[in-house]
Amino acid sequence: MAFNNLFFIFLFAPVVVALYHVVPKRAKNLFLLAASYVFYAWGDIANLPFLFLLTIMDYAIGLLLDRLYGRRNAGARLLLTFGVLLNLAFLAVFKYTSIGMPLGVSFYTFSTLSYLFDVYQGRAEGEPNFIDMALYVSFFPKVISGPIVQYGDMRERIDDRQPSWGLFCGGLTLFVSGLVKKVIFADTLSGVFGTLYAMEQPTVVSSWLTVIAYSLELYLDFSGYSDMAIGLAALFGFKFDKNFDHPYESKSMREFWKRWHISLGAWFLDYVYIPLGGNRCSKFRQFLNLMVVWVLTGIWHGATINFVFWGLYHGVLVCLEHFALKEKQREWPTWLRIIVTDLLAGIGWVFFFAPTASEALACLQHMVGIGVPLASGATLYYLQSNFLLIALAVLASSTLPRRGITRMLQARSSIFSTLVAACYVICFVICVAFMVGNTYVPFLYFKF
Amino acid sequence: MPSSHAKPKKKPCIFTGFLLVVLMLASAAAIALLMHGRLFKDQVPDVGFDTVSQAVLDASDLSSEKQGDNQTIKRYYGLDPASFDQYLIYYPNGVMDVDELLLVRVTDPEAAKEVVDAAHSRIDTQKANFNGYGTNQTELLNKSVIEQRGNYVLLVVADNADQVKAAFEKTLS
Repeated sequence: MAFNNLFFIFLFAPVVVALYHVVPKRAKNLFLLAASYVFYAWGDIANLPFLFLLTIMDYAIGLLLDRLYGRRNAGARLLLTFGVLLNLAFLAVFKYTSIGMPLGVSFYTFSTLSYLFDVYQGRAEGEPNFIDMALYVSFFPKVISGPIVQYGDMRERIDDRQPSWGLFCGGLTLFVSGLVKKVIFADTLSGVFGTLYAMEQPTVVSSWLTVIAYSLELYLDFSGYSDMAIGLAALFGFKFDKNFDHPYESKSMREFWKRWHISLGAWFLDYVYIPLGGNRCSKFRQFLNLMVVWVLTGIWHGATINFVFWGLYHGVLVCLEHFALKEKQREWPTWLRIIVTDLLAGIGWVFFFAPTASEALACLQHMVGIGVPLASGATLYYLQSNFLLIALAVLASSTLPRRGITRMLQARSSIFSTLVAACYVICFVICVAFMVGNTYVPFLYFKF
Repeated sequence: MPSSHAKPKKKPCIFTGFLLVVLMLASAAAIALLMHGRLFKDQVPDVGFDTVSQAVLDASDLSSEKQGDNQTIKRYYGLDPASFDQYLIYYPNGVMDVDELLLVRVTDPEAAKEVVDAAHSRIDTQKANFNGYGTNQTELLNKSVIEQRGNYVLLVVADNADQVKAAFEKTLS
């Protein structure tokens, strides 16, 4: 079951939301956990035992860490190391063997690791209530594709959350925004990307169009999913931080990675980079720490050489900015900095969509005109027929829509408020029409 | 920065700690067992092609079939035999016959999917050819067997297709 599924939107979600608000307070977490397991099982029942057993294992480790060993002594370190290795082995077997990957394994394993780290660091206590701990791991808005909410950030809300009409309405509008990004833009761009990438006679222009289409598709698909997840969580009183902050408006690669998949970046910052020493060590050690984080980020996405290279590529760029370019970048005009950042990010995405290293290299060669002409009749046709879609997708990726809506609401005019509400309703109806008409296109980040 | 907790820690009894250790190890063991079962579920013993083909031929009645070659594979299945490790093909003797046998060993199980798809396509084509007038032939085609075990793919259209399948499975179990 996915969020952009008619069954989910018109049956599962409304029933769960309605029943949740009727169920007694002391049973709400149990109800949400049951709903989360149903949600997970609907898409992947064969792998539900793995999610459940991993939760039990980390529940026991967390309590042992907290209750038996106290904080940061040798026994706790040993137990933490053992727990981390077990979780990483669990993830590695699924990702890097032919066993078949359970839905969301990369995301929920990082949640269980966050739980162990936060208990070890004293950021949270070990949770004696299994239901609460299991809800943190398996909460259905985030279990399959994030955001990777750290345990310390979610714990209070698991214990106690007050319903709020503002949070509920904000959740609904965010869900609709995410649905628009996914269903109207990302799914349509998926078809455009597929057609362009499969061109038998690529050109320079078509290669760039391919990269642009994929860059927009990936952002709108993943940020759309994140918006829906955060919006859904808000319906139950959970306030998650945003996972994307319009990264294609970034002025440097460091800024880009503070705006793209923010929860993953924060996870690696808090649990890998800072414990390794972060910035509080020699320049060489900082460089090593950054490269370790980036290699791990690449490996998290996949085991092929493409992802490792992608991680190294971004690691080198971030290090270049951090150690060499520093303040020099600020001298460039803003528009140039944004274009260069998007260009560099787009080149990186080639390693994401190309199935092999040689295909990635071939695509990069086509982008600079090696072995292919500048354009062709077919290329110009695709450019002309998809120009409007791409322009609208660029607009949807920017802060302009959000700023426009905020300004209209800040005017405190009932006409503007009604107009905004009507826009959301119309967008929702259009999305439903798209979903009815289209073949189901899975979320791109489901494969991680 | 991680915050410290104001509440004084209460150490649990040894028994609780023991239970938690047991729970941790038991769940880890259960995960390992499930993974092991999943990883080795589709593995088959490495049996030579000659052994498998002999078992299949011994169980088959080839009186209405004749042995084919590379051209037969390409023509009936649209497959390139160069991509196979080894194969054996018997095709119908006459235009009104449908008895057929295909045994293929591929280099890895992933490549077997293409053969399985081609086999299904062949059966569907034959069913369409005899639909409406060849009741015996259609009945045989409906009883046909397409089976994949590891690197081996078997297609049998015959009256005793189930017996051939059983011989195939026995050799590879």
